[in-house]
Amino acid sequence: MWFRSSRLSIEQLDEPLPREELLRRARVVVLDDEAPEMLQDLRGQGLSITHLRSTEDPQFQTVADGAYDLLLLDYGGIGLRFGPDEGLDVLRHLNRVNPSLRILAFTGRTFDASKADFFRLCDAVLKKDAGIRETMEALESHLSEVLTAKYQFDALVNVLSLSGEPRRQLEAAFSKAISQKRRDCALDMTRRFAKGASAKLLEAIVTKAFQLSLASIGKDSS
Amino acid sequence: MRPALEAIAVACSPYPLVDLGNPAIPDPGQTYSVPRICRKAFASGRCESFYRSLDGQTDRCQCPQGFSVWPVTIGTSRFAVTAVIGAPRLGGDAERARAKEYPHNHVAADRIPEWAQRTASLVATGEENRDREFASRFDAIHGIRRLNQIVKTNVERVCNSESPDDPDEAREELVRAFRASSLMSFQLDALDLLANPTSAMSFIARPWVFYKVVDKLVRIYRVIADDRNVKLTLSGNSKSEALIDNRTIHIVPSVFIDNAVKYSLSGGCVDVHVADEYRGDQPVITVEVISNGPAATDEEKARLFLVRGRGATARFAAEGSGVGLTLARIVAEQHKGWISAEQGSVDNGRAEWRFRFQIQRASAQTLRVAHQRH
Repeated sequence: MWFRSSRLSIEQLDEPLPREELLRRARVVVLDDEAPEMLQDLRGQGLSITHLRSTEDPQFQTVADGAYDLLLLDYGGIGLRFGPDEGLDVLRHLNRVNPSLRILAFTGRTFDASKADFFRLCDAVLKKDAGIRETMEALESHLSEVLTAKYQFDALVNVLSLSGEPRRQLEAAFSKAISQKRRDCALDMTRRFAKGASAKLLEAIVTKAFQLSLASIGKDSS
Repeated sequence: MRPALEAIAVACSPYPLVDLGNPAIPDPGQTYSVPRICRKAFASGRCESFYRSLDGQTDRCQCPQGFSVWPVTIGTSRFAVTAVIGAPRLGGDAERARAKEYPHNHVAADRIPEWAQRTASLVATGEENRDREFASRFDAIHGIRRLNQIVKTNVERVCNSESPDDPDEAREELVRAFRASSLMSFQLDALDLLANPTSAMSFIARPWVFYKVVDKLVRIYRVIADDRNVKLTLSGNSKSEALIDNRTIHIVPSVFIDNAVKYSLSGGCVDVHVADEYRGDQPVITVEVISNGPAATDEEKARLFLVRGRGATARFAAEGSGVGLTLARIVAEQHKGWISAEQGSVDNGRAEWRFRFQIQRASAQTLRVAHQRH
């Protein structure tokens, strides 16, 4: 029982994954009315990357449901479903419903003052003309922060709005579930705190946190 | 700062105005003066609370001195037209007294809303036209950027296939083409900023190792330096992080290096140095670009970062628009950094120049908070 013997909690599992493992697990989505020039090049490097043209795409809901780890979000031409400010309104929506998603502003118009809120609310800015290598480096850097058990657990706590004793209870239950390799136990405990949070999103985050914990422990004990 | 068109409209107002966002003694109108009683009343503090209470109000009312007051909106700000006696009158002893004292400040009450509406509509039309003009400039820059993006990706793709382990080892012409395209991306950022310098007011900072930015720039500028037979070197071992807006920060070292390479003579040297230092007791990262270039007069040197333009000797030495250092100053101010230039002893119209930019190093506490945000 690794957790019990070493007295480590999920909060301490924040080591980044090795590159190969990172690329194998990572799921990236681009929301842009035009397919990025380098899409195939990024896929060629082993990255799983999906391109959606607008919020009207049937797959868009999966972005909110936690199917992806990172979103490259363009500002214009992606649909008015969430409001007239397109990218900014999508960003506000996703930040609210899926705070675990890392969102990078992906645009060529980096200095338009009227879009300042868009740049401010995104986690970072990635210019479309950054080039293949630089884009890949930026994506890997963000993914290595996001794909840790600690990040996913913090995101889960954030979605559930937990603090204090309930947070400690969930953490203890998670530690126990991981030591027993019982994802279902972690999920059951999470559901008890769920209130109005999306069931699909919770399942996605719990699964990621669980798998990343096991990967991290496996690596440490090897 | 008030938008330009709004400021012009306010300055041209025929009536005295009070800015409701910051109430003070009314600004005199072009036709109607500010009565002495207003100055006295404001000094005693009696009027300020009255003007503050007008927030959200639109109807004509009377100030404590008996003058008619109309709250109006011009552009993005709220004002009060004041210090006049409107006809028909609102009544009261104070108004009767003011009407006798200031016979030149009488006005037909219906003129004020009409003037306010015309002025507001004029400002709005002007702002719309300005926005359209900005949008077309941005569209032009964006179009070039998209073309450059295609060129850059394709060249990089070929570099990667020629030399998968290290694309920098691909054919020299390809690597040079890639770097030239990267350089163009930087120049387009500068053009973007030039088209809309107010965008630098929004400072979107994240922790980043500043040395990496400079290192990348030096690699890219070597293309131009090699062409001009100028040796471009980078030294220093700073690994510290600073809070950086990665949309703009590269403009400062880029302008320094660009100028240094441009004004160096063939066979010359440009040294770029990045170091962790202290400015007083404040830990900073310093980037310094040292080169030999055309000398400037004391007056030219004093205006170096302030005014768009170039010194007489610099104009003679190389082509340029003279906007780079002004942009560098904007970005330095955006980052609350320090920018300076020192000129060494002058010989034959040339001097050693040291352009320096210092940015505060992020403290452990700042970094912890910034990293936690993500």
